[in-house]
Amino acid sequence: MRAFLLFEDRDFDQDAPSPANSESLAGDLELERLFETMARGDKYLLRVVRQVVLASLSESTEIAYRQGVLKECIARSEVAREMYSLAEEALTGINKVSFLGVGFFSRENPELTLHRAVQQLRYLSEMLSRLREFGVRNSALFSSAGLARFFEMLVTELDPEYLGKIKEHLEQLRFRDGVLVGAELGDGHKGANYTIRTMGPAKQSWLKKAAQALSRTSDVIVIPERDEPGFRALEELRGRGINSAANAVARSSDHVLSFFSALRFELAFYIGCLNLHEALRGKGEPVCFPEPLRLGDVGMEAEGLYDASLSLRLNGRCVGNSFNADGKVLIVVTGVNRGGKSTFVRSVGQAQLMMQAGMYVAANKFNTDVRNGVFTHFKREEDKDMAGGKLEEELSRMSGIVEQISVGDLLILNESFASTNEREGSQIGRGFVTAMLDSGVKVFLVTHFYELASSFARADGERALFLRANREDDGARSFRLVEGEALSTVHGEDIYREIFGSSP
Amino acid sequence: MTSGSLSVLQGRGGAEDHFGSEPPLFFGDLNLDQVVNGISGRCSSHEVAPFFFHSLASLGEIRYRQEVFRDLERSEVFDAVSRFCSSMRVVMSDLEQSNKLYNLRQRQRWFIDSAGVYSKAVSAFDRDLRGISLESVGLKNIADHLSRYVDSKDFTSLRSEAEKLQAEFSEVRYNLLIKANKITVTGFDGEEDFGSRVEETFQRFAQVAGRDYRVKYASWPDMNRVEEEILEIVVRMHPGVFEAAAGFSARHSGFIDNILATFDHEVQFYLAYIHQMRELERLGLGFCYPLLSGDKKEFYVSGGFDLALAQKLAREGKAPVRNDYELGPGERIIVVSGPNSGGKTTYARAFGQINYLASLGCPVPARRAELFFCDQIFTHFEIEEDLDNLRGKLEDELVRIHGILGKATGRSLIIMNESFGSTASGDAMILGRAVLSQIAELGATCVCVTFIDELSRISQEIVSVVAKVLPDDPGVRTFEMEARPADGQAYASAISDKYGLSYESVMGRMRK
Repeated sequence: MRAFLLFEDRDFDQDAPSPANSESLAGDLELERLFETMARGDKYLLRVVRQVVLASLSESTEIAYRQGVLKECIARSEVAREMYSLAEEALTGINKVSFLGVGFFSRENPELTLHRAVQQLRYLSEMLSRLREFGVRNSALFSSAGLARFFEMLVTELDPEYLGKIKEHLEQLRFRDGVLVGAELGDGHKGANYTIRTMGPAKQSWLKKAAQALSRTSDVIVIPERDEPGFRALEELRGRGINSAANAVARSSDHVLSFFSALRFELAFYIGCLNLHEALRGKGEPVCFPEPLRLGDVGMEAEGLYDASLSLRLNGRCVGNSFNADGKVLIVVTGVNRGGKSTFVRSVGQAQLMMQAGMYVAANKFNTDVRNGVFTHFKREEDKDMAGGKLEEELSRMSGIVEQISVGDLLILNESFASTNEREGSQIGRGFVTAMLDSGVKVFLVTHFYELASSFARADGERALFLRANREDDGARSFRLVEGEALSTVHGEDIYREIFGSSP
Repeated sequence: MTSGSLSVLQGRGGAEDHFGSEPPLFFGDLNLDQVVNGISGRCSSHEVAPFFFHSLASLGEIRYRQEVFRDLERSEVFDAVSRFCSSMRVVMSDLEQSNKLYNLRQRQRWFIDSAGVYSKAVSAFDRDLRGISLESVGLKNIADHLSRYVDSKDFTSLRSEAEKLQAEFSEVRYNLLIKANKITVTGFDGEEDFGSRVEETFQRFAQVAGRDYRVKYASWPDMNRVEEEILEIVVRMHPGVFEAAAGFSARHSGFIDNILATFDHEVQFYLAYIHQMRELERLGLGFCYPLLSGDKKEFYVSGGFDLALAQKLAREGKAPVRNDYELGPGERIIVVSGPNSGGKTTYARAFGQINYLASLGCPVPARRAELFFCDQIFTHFEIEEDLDNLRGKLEDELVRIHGILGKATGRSLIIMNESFGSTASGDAMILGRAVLSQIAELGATCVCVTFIDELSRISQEIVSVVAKVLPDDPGVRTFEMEARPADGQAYASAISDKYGLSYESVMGRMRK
């Protein structure tokens, strides 16, 4: 019994550490606003969506599997939400049950472990019946690989016979006729391999045998009242006997619980996607399900690609960008300040991540190749800890990225190396970016260094696409990028002043 | 050969003279105390350190141990001996348990189990050794003894009786029905395990790793009164086997063979050392069997390393630098100079260790070693403490070197480390020259670490060795030594590409 709603063949690994670059990724791409919209104020949802979105998928088939589930959740959002609240109820309800019997000694006493686990299982088997009812009612509605399998599993695995067997076990665990413990001779003749045994169907004949033994008083040990060491020994013996059965029951309870907990986790991601979808569609923004390129193809094609995070902050709609970077591994973005360059690369990073989480993306159309991971290096607006100097801070951050990045990743550089002069910054940048490209990393580079941008135009024209942020003739910014190489003397003085805070 | 005097450590079958009670004086200076701690720490059951305190007096004895080492280095021999020894640990601890207990039936059971483990281990050891053709006299003697012993009447009856009793005890099963304050003991009748049935039912929800809710009960070897009463009922259900157990214990007290007990202890010397070798070999640090000569006073070592340093670095998965040593005909003294913390002392120590370990009959930490068989080893290291009293310190150093020169012969090895390092360099120069000349005259072998390069040029018996420096990057300490004249050049520190972001560095970093 596995939910398998996020992966076709496995659970989501909730204990896996988030990727090392998560923090800068979330900051640079302004993902927090997206996550908050997905969570709608629910802390649990926030944790789940953050974790799942940042743990990128790397296979097109995995992406397609999630897209299938998500599309049906969007189409049947009320059923998806009902299923989620059922899982939520199981987990909140269990806390009330578990509270009983949790005492100071509970960890040291198999009797208490057993008692609590039996209580929990009673509650959970009730929830399983309800889940089955829900499954029977709705299974006809779904046909995606993930959901069809899930509903079929509910119907077949949780059949009435099975649920009845659980009930029977729970009854036997009351031990009305006493505890029957089997033992062997262990080290130094100490009792060993204590196990609870069932009197089973032959219970009556068994009790008769015990009664015979009872009549032979020599085979019976009676602990006299007030014999404290004797009662302690008896209690320990009983504990040792129950120990493995209590373990089995408690583990079983955990197993059922973990099913509900995984179900809740996996559904939470889709609920988050529903929430964001409703928010974007509600203000008239387009979304689309992207199609990953075939393995081996490189490129990116977009129509109306916009920064979803920015859109959620505005009243109106966002300006989208369209371009075709078919076969390109380097996209160089130049042009006027505040012309939408950062917003543009942010929208690229978001779309790549959302696609690789199995989500829709914020665009009319978006297709690109699947990357292993996304890395960002954005100029930090302010550096609180100036100890290392700005260039040093940037280079050491970059060096940290080199430690983590590898073939098949996407790297977004936004005015990296900008805190030194153009000659030096271009030289460092040129060597570094070329090494990235030659190592199989795709790069988006935002730079105001003409020397850097034009060096790529001269030497890497084949594998590079050049986009430029323009100022309209009247000086207004359109926020729309057009294809075109860097222009020299682009407002050089402005930029200089911006970076260095003084005139050249 | 009398069976009481078989030693795998000493060919002549001598008594206990392969033990030393105290480590030699130079142990601390050469970090051999660390080496031996590291090695003997692998063996908790027996004290093996004293075996390292006493070097062997003849090339024949060295050969005797080298042969045993060679045999034991073969994995089939090593594994057979290790298995036997680890079984012996169990035998001893079971016996100890048997002696400690109060309940007679419990004592008997531990005794039988101990004898059971012992007889199985001995038979297996014998079977293993029969299948191996041994080369060393030391192990062949043990194998011969073993093959006679396993056929002896004492041993065969011990083995068969113990096996029979153990088998019968393992068949005993009983049930306890616990209700209120009554425990009813009955025989076992094939009742089903209820816990596993429950777990089976919920198997379809099973996760990869479930938590373990079993309470860990403290397990005392002795029994409480209720357990004893239960046992007595079980005894009444199976009277025969318990009676036989009592007879066994009476007949077989003191069943361990003396020679095997001694072997079990002595062979730890080899096992622990080989264990250490294997661990370092995994890091690419090989050992070799040194060729020792009693008359040719020459030394050729390649790929030698400091064993104590290697042990320390191995914990971080690293390996020390390896170095060569060469003293050809007429050459007696290696003078080591060069930059500070460039590995000079390590270089000198390693040479001392290699020569001492060779004299114990051990493989040495080097790729190849041809050595002169030294009669004694002396060290003269700067004493760290007592910095206030420089005059006293120099005096002490001179007293010590004087004592060494009085005891040393032309067959001795003297390791000097920054001797007179605390005096003015003029003094150090004069004193150093005087001491080295005396050593040269004596004909002893010497390694002398010094910051005074001139000492490398004072006589023709001297070979100069200098810590190596990379011309392009003088800031890097290589810890490699090379034989060349000392030139006293200054080492400037180089500017490096601190963040490794140049095209070449990035390509290099991305490839790894």
